[in-house]
Amino acid sequence: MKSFLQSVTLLSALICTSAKAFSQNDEVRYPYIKYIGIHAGTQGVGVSAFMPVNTALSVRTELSFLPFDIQVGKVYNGYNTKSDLSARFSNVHATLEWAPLHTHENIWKYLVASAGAGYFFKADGRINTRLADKYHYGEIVIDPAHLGTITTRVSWKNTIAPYLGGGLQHIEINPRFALGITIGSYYLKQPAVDITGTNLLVGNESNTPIVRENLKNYRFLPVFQLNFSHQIK
Amino acid sequence: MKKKRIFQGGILLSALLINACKDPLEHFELNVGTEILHYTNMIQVEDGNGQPISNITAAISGPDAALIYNLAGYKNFTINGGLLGLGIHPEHDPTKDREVRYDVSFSGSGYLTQVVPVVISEQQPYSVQTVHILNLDNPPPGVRMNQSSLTLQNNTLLTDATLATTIGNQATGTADIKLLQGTSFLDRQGAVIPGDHLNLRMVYLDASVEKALGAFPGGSLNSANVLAEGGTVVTSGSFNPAAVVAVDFFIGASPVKKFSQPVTLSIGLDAAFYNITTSALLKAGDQLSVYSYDVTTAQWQFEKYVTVEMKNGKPVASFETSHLSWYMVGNYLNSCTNPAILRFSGNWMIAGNTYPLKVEALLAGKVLKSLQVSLNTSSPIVNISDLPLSSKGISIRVYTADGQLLTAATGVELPSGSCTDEHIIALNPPVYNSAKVTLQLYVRCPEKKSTVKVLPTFYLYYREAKTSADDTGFKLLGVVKNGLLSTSLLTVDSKVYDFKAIWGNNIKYAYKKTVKADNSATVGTAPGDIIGVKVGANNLEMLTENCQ
Repeated sequence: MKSFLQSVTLLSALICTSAKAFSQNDEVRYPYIKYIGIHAGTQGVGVSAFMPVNTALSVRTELSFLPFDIQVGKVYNGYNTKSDLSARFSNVHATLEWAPLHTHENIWKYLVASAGAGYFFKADGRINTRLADKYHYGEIVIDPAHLGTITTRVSWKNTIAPYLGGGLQHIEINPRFALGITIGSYYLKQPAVDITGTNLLVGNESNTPIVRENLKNYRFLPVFQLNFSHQIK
Repeated sequence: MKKKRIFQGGILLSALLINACKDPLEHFELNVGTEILHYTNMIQVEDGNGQPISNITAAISGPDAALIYNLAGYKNFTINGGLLGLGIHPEHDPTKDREVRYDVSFSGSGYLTQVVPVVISEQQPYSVQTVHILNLDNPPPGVRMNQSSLTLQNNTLLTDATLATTIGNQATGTADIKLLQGTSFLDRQGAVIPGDHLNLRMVYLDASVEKALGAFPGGSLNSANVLAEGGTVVTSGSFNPAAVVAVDFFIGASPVKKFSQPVTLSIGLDAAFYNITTSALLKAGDQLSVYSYDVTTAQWQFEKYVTVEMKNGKPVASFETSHLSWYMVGNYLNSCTNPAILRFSGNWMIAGNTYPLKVEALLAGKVLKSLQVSLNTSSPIVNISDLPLSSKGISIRVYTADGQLLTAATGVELPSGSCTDEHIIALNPPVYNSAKVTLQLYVRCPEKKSTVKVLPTFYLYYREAKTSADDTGFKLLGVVKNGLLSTSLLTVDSKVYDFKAIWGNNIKYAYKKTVKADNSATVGTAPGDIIGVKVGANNLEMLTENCQ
């Protein structure tokens, strides 16, 4: 809650400052131009649209999709394991971007600070964990596939998450195309955790409080993103 | 310089964000379940008089022998406390279309070798069967034996000789074997066995005495390994014996398998035998089948038909034979190739309770097959293999573990021609003192605060308390699944019990315990935990080993 209030305060400050800047200089080209674009980064790939509000303030909307899969090996309770991590994040996102130095004639004219929120209509992570090695029970050797799988599901679904960030936007490549680079973070609600085990790994559901504790700080979803924009009239 | 500071700030911010993302599974206490073996079979080895036997050896053979391990996962089949626990390799569980079949051979000095076929079907993850191994020095009721020695000259008999059993030990019939002068004795290949003494042993089972038939070859009156009349491939069949004998001759250590000239066996038959062929009591002139049994192959083979004669007012079957083995005189019936499916019903069953029952298949008044099962309301189905349901006369009789009859004494008759049907067996309510007693076991590994969440599954036996030196009288209480068992067999507070638990290859006893309606205990080393006082060090070793 504290973070959210801080975000709202900062957002108010941005609007006030930008309104002042707009009144001082309405001849400056940047960032009055409408853009549409594509982006890619830690929150996935997607499309974006950019609409100026005044000389220093603009509204950016984005639609992003993140399909993420990786396999990792770890040792838990003495067992070598393999885990398939998969994340599926999809959100729509709207921010106000403030360009405090847009009147400069150097690279800092592209500097922006951003504040807004994203609606995550899909935000699920799944970890399928199984033993990496064959299991020995007396003289019986059991293939890990027969031992079962532990599935840990983490969900932040249907979350509206505030966002703060900044970066360099609308770096002109030519009069029609521009590049941008941003860094920031969402602040998510606490995730729901669900663990299920199959076959001989049934019973590991009791680890749910441990995983929930580990994920309590999984509320900052970092965003590092590159975008490529095209001017529209 | 300014640019550098901004860049460094960005790196720091990223590091902070990434640092928040620690391994979601950090400190995850991964546990692998203890129920490695999905299908287990507990064989209770007794001598027919209720005494558990451990001083004999067990060996596994048969089509699926390679898949069979002891409950600790080893190919070491030692009988402990009269119990032999076996399990199937978990990657080769039985399926709907394929049962797992193997034979367990029990042999030892002073005991008649017994080969017991075991059939595990998909719906039978836990099964218990009692095997009676005939103690030659202390045979059960209905069994008579004679052992003697004859002198040989030039490896042949000097004179005619007869070996006979006598009436006694509840056996009302006798058997004898007549050998002719000049007979020489051959091994399996037909070669004369040299020697100057012939040792003879004849064992007679009175087919009218249920305990005597406990020593029937294979442990039950049916078999999946039968060469029936005119058959060239083995089939599944059932026997209704009027009498059974085992004849073994030895010269030195060499067993005799054949003779140079036929010998004559005369076997006294059960006078009250119900002849399935004639649907009437046995009488002179009836034709009965003679089947022989080879203990090395565990195979029954049709020999001949024999006509019943009356001698001194008693029915007798006499026939010549040229080889030695077990002989069964009686009826033979073809069995179903698929197991009979029995669904037990009783609205008196309490959800969650485990009900260990003895299920007997009866044929012509005899117990064709007996097995112990552990049922509950959500798992009320039992499969019984090799029943002759193509014929009429099969019935199912059910007892509780404490001996209460839940069906008519003659059982619930199954319709003929019903090999593929599911049969519903209604069970009458038993009388119990306590409706539900719950035993809950937790395990706390040494130096751990919380109990482990993957709890053991094991067989649990009970009896009313005796001295610890006496290991008899334990009855199956049930299979404790994930540390939990609820039962109606125990009486709260007023009775004192001994418990015997089999976990892997370990047997644990708890003597002189009373129970409450809800009983929970934690095995561990923390204050308030139980570790056992009798062999606490061993218990701790087991606990530590299983916590690894």
